[in-house]
Amino acid sequence: MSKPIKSKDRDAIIQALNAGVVPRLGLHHVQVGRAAEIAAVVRDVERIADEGSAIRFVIGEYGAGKTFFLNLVRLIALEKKLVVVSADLAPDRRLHASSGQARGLYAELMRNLSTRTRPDGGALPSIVERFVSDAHKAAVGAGRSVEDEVHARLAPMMELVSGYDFASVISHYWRASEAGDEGGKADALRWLRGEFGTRTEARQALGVRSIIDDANIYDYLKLMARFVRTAGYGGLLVTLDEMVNLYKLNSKQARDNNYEQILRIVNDVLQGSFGGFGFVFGGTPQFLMDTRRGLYSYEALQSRLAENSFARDGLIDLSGPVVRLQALTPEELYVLLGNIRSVFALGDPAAHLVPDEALTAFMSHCSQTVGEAYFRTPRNTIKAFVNLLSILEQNPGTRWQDLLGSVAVAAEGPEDLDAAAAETTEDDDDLAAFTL
Amino acid sequence: MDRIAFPPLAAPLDGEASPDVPPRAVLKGVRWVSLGIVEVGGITIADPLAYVGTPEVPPHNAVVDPALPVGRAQTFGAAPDLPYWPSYCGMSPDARATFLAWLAEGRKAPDIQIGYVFVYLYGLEWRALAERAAADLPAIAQEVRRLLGIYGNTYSFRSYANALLDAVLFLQGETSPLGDEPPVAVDYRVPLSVRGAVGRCVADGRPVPFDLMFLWYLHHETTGLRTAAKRAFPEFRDLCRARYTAKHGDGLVVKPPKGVLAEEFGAASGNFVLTLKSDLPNVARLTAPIKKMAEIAEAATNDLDKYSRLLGRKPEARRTLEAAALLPADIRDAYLGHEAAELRHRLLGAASQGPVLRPLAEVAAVLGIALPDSGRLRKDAAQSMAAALEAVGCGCEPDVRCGSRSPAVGEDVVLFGLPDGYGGQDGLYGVAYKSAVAILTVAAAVVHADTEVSEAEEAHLIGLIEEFLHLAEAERRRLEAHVRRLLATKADLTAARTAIKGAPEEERRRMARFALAAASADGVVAPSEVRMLEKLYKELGIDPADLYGHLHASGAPSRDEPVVVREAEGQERVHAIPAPPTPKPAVGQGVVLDHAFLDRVRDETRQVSGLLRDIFAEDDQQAAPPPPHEEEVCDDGRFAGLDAAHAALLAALVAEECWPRADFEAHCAAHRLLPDGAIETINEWSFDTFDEPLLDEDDDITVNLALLGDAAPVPA
Repeated sequence: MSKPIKSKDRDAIIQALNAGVVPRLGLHHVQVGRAAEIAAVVRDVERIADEGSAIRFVIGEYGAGKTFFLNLVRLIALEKKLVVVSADLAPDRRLHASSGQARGLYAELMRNLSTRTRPDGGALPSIVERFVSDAHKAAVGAGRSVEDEVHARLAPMMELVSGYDFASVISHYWRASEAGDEGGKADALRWLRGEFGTRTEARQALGVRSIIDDANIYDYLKLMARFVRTAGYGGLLVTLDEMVNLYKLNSKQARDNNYEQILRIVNDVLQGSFGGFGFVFGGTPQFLMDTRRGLYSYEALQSRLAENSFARDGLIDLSGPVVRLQALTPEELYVLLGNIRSVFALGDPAAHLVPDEALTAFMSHCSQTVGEAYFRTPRNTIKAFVNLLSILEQNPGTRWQDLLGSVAVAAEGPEDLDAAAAETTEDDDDLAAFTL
Repeated sequence: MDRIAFPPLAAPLDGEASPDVPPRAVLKGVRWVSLGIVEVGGITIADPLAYVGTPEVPPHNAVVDPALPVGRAQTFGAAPDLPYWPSYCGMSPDARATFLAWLAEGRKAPDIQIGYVFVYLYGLEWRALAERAAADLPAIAQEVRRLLGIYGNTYSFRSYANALLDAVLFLQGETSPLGDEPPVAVDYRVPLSVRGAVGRCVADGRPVPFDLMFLWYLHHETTGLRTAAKRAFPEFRDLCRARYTAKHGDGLVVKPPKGVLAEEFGAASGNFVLTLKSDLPNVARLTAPIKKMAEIAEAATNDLDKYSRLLGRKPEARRTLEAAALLPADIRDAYLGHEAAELRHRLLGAASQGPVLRPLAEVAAVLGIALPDSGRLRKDAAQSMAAALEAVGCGCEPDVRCGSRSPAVGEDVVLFGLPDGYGGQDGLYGVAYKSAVAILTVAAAVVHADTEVSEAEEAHLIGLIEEFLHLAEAERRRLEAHVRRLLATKADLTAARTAIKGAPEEERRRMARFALAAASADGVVAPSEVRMLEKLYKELGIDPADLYGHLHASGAPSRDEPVVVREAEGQERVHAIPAPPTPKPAVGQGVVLDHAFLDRVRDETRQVSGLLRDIFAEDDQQAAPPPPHEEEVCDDGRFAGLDAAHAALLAALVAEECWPRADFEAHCAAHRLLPDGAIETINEWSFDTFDEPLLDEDDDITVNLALLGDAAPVPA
């Protein structure tokens, strides 16, 4: 922790924590523990970057830090030059559906498409342009037509389902950019983002016969994975949070259809049949293990997910696809508060705003106010702590002891999360699950 | 028909010379013949143990006076009547002949009138007590015992003979041995010999050994033996002995009471009355030791109740397995001997402790118990089977006496060795045991849910028994046998249902914890196990929605501590179970951190931090990986790694810090680049080179000139 911390990271972390959400940047400055789990996902990311594939189910209770963990995986993947698409599942965003919810998920994923240079999403145009620019340059160098070059580069995609149309849309984008046709470019991007509702519309705008719809989003994710590799990236990582929304589907048929999609993914990954592609799912224990509605209710997934998911002889076995995250302990929270203090001080121990005893005093205060929730579901605890440090920082000369009594910590519960998930869809950074 | 002692006919005894030894009173003119042959009236008598001769005055009623006439001996059954106070000298000649014949014949004809025997007894009595022939005492004692054996059913004789024997033993410092029959009561008093022996122990400060104590107790006026004790006297005696020595070791130590032992002795012959005196303490009025002995005897009698009833019904059952099964464990082995060891070996096999799984039919055959054709063993049969097994030191599961159902024909039972010193079921198999059974039954049902029981799961279940350290050894062995049986049979929730019913909530939660731990014991919670747990939770009345969280938490690696399946609880615990892994500070308490764990968290955090720092490395990351396109170095080589077009664009861009979007796009177009792609490529390069983006894209495009340092051009 003695390494200096960039002020950009510092600001991002503090701002996010203050708002009660998981920071998008600099997570490695606050991460506490979980060495084995993180090492495992780092290996996953490296495998994807090395033309392999990987899948993880990150399972944890409310407050255990699933979202934090998923974000950390996301940042690691970006750093390793993967393209990452992320989304929370929601009633209107599923893996499989018949009235646009699956396409909704795909669209959300594409909106959130990130690269290292654009970690906050919206990187789809950049990737397409980068691909086209490269193709253009190569074509010029080789004296070929750009059209030919684009198609040559996209040839590996043709073998995949819908690969031809995908290639056509990329070509269309190039032509539009050549012609300075902003509308044409936008149409191509809209198509890639799954925003065309009907085939007719798509044919009129782009001359392709298919669109991305509920039935084929997984095929298009595969195409996208192939495409980003063609464009010079390591591969595509898909992170899906709030999987419990599938569990909450009332129709068994609907649940099974979605689980079937997960089975396809699991099979593809475990068989290694499609490289440069990986998935990380975040869900509750119930989502995984409920034998009536959870993943365990789907026979074919049971055996694949039940193996080795439990600690044995005190060791975590991460050879299976399930990573279990346990709630924070007070000790871990203590270290976490220390890390936050260090972030405030930009990694300089001499600049710490409060001494060690303030950390325990703060924890005692929270414990008295909200009971053990203060470390099991620590979002509000952390928020309050960040507030405290901010006040101390802005008011030099203030004593932390004087402030402590006035710190208010609200109790929280899964209901907050449910409400958040149900009402706001962009709540994917919910720090409800802040745990390390 | 009591006799009253009256003044002696013979020489009066003079005073008391010493406290213990009254003065010798020697009959003048007669001799005592104990060994040798005498002939009187033509009848030869070997070893007569009698006085022979003609006494000086006055005549003595026991002396065989050869001078008196001897008639014809009659058959013993038709011997002439004797007066109430018989004497040799006062007999008719024929009676004398008959008496002499009786003496010659060995003094054993059972049908002779008791008067003749008395005459003989008078001699013994005189010799032992009046004459004090110490050397003859053993022979006299033996003779009196022999006579008692033949003539003891005559009350009067029995009483006098016993009194004499008692006095002789007292003088010898002995007591009658403790036999296989309750000792004969003498006047409902504690025999003098016994009081003397006890007194001697007390005087010496020695513990009172069991036999003596027991005799004391048996003869005590407050003692009344019940049927069980009488009918099974040897067992009663041995049981009392076992418990007396178990409780008091070598024996009770009694404090000397006040008073000295002294007792008047009235001779049967009426020849003398003397006081047997000693310097021994008189223990006659002590009650405390008797009470202690009585407690033991009372309990022993109760424990022999069933046994005695069996003997009453079937006297021949003694020393059979059936009877031994009813004996208290303390003495059982003595009544079975090596037969038990043999049976035990046949039942338990080479594993001397078990548990072993055996077909019910096999066990029943060994024990000789008849099985019904089908269905369950009848309850009484099951009970006696269990008892018979217990008799040879085997426990049996199921055991109807512990609340299980009796086994069915075709089932297996589990046999196990009972711990040494197993004293029956009293005080065992209570609430704590039942709750343990319930917990394990539930856990076994869950383990069984996935068709196969893995070794780890089996080991886990067996290991769980260690959690019940508050149970007695025998209970834990039975528990293990129970688990073996649960593992061997297809246990399901049906078996557990009864156990669950009526259990308090805390108990049910504990069941759930055990079940969870069992399910995850092998690192795999099979979906079928989860399904079973879901059912179980419903049965337990715990919200099944909680299950997943519990399961999840049970998958957590421990903090180098045993998994806690049962949390700390009140007094019944003997063994400390470690605190739960997560300290749970209650509201209002301070926070206590586990420093060892804190150090581990810090270690791990350092590790992670290192791992992540490598990934998010700042400057020390390897130089930019080769870009996906061929390298063309720009003229001045300022942007090494960037292709020509982008380098040229960048070269143009660094002229300003801030570019409106439109101007930026114009520059891109000039270099035949697409704007978004150009930003991506340049920033990608910048990340590799500076670990930070060079172009910031808001509405305008900002160039982070500071990054470029030297490479930044001098503004024109």
